[in-house]
Amino acid sequence: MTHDASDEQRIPDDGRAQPDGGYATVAGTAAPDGERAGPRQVFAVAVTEYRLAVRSRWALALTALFAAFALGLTTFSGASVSPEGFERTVASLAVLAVYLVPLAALAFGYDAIVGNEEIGWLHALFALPVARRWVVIGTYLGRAIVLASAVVIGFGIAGVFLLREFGFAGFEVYVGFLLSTIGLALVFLAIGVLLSTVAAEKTHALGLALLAWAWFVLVHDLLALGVTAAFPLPDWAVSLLVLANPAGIFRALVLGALGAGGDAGFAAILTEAGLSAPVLTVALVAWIALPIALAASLIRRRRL
Amino acid sequence: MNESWFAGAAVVVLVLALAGAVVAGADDAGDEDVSGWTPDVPDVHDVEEPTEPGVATVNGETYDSAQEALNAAEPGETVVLDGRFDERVVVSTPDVRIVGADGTDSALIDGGGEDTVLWIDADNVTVEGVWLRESGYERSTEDAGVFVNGTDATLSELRITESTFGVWIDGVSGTTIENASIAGREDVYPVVQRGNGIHVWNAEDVVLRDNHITTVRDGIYYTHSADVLTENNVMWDLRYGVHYMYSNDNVLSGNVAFDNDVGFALMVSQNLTVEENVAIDNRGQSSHGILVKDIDRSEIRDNVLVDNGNGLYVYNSNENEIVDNLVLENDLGIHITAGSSGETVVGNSFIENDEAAFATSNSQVAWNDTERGNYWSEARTSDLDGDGTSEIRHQPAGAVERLVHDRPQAATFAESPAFDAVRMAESSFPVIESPGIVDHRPLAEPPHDEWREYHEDHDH
Repeated sequence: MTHDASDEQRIPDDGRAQPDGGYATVAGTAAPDGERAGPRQVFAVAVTEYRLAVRSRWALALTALFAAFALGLTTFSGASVSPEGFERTVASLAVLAVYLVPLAALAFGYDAIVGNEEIGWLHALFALPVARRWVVIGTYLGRAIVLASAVVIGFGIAGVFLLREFGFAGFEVYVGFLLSTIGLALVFLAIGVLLSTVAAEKTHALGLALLAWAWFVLVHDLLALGVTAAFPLPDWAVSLLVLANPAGIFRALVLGALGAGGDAGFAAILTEAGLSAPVLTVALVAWIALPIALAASLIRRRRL
Repeated sequence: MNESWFAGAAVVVLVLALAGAVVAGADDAGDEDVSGWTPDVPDVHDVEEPTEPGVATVNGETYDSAQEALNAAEPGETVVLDGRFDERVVVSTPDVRIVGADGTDSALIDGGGEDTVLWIDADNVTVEGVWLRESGYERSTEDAGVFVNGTDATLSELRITESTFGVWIDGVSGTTIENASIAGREDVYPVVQRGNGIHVWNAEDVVLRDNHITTVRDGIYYTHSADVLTENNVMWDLRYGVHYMYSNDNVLSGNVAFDNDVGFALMVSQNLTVEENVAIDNRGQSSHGILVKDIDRSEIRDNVLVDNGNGLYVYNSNENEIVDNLVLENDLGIHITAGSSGETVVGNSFIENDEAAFATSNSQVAWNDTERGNYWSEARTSDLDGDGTSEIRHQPAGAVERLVHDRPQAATFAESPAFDAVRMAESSFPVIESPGIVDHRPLAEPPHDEWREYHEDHDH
């Protein structure tokens, strides 16, 4: 791995432009004190992560997984009794994507830091004059591009088949689902990277990732349902419970978009409860930014 | 960088998808949806009216006034009306026929906005193909297009417009009303200030068939009446399509009610047979397809309830059979409340309702201990022995449904995998019992197939 990416990682040692054989032009050295070098360093790390992931076939595996899943669900779901079309397909896809996409994202993210440490790559990076936070952010960005691309291509292939079947009517619902799924994937990748940053060993990170998956996918909603049933919570508290789970936000976003053409539907109810599409989108972005910010800050405490 | 193809491909797909979404969003007309489904109904207003002064003919003699012709008519004779009459008419000779010269709309009697236009005060009177309009405005004096106070009257092919009540049947038996078009005064508002299309008071052996009724209060109102056969009528833009009060042993069959507040309102009656009716898009203050209130031992069978607020609303009603109905895409399929018990609910298809069933009951109700249950489009079914019923029971209304009914945003949790597990447990294992409704033998396949036709494109 080190060999594969070595040409991307030649960060100049003190940030000054030197006749160093062209390394400086890759890493960027315009700012000597690292402030403006940050984005370039992030870019360099991200590109490395991206290339590694594509070469190691993570990208293909994820794409194939999403495509197989979406195609299987859309083509073999049988002649069910309900109106056909994108809305119905998206409703089924959304229910099952909530299991699969977080699991794939966590599996792809849990070793991002701790895994690189175990193979020694992190030592090499940290030996360079790169702020550790840029390494975390760069790693996340590189993998995020791979994961988002896999989601887009995998579900996009299914979308083409669906277009052949249903035509263009209602296609925007599917695209909305696609965008929300990208958001869901990026959130759980961020959580995976955060866990990878705090875990001492790779197995710990894996365990934490599985716990996180179980919490967000299975336990949280069950507890929230129980709490809502047991206590007379005010409406804003129930809405807060929805926002406390990125999987719930995803579900609200996708299901809210369904039926928006006909009667007022779920979206209107959600908007009334303070959960309009913009609010949900902002919450999803926050779920991406906060874990990464936390990881970028916690990486300083890490001992190699 | 030779790995960039991957992200590049993703960007291309994403751009194409977004472009597709913009295109799809732009022409969204072809959406399959039940809203917009409307049966064909005749245009009740904007009809060409006869302008020639009226000529009434009886027994070879002609008269300027319909009343004079009727006074001259003997029992068994026919009075032919042609053109426009501005008068109010009383029929006091039995066995006479009054017919329009050239079918409906060739003869018009305009009551001038006072009292009743045509008063039938004798038995065996037949009125055919006449247009009656402009009765008085008073509901307390029963101002109507036709006031029936003689037995065995037959009214066919009538047009009745701008009237408070269309037809008032005043405690006489044997009335038949066929192929009438009845439209009230749209400018009387609110709707409860209007009269009813056909008002059946204390009558028996009445047949109401193939009538079109709109813009009155209730399409057909029955009080203290029995043995009334109501079939193939179409009712729209009303408060209630039909409205039964204290009326037992009646049959309501093959009627269509759409765009009303309530399609078919059944109240305080027994032994009603309500079959093969269609209620679509009834939304308003109450928003029910069929309202079943204080109804006992009645049969509600083979009806189609589409896109109403509540498909069926069952209130304090006991021992009714709700069988083989198609309940499609309502906000709530069936709402059972206020101590309703002993219902047999079997063979119905509950398809794609926002909420299939809701019960306020604090105990668990098993709807069917019969061999077959109902079809629930959201149920998990597993028919291992291939007998058409699922071996897994289904609880369409349980603890979680009640919670979501009270707090809609909790649906986000309720759609989650975790909840699916709870619901599966609630349905599958009788160990976990929660109040609500249980179907012990849900059907694996819907017994109705005609739901599809309500889903075609409706570009009217």
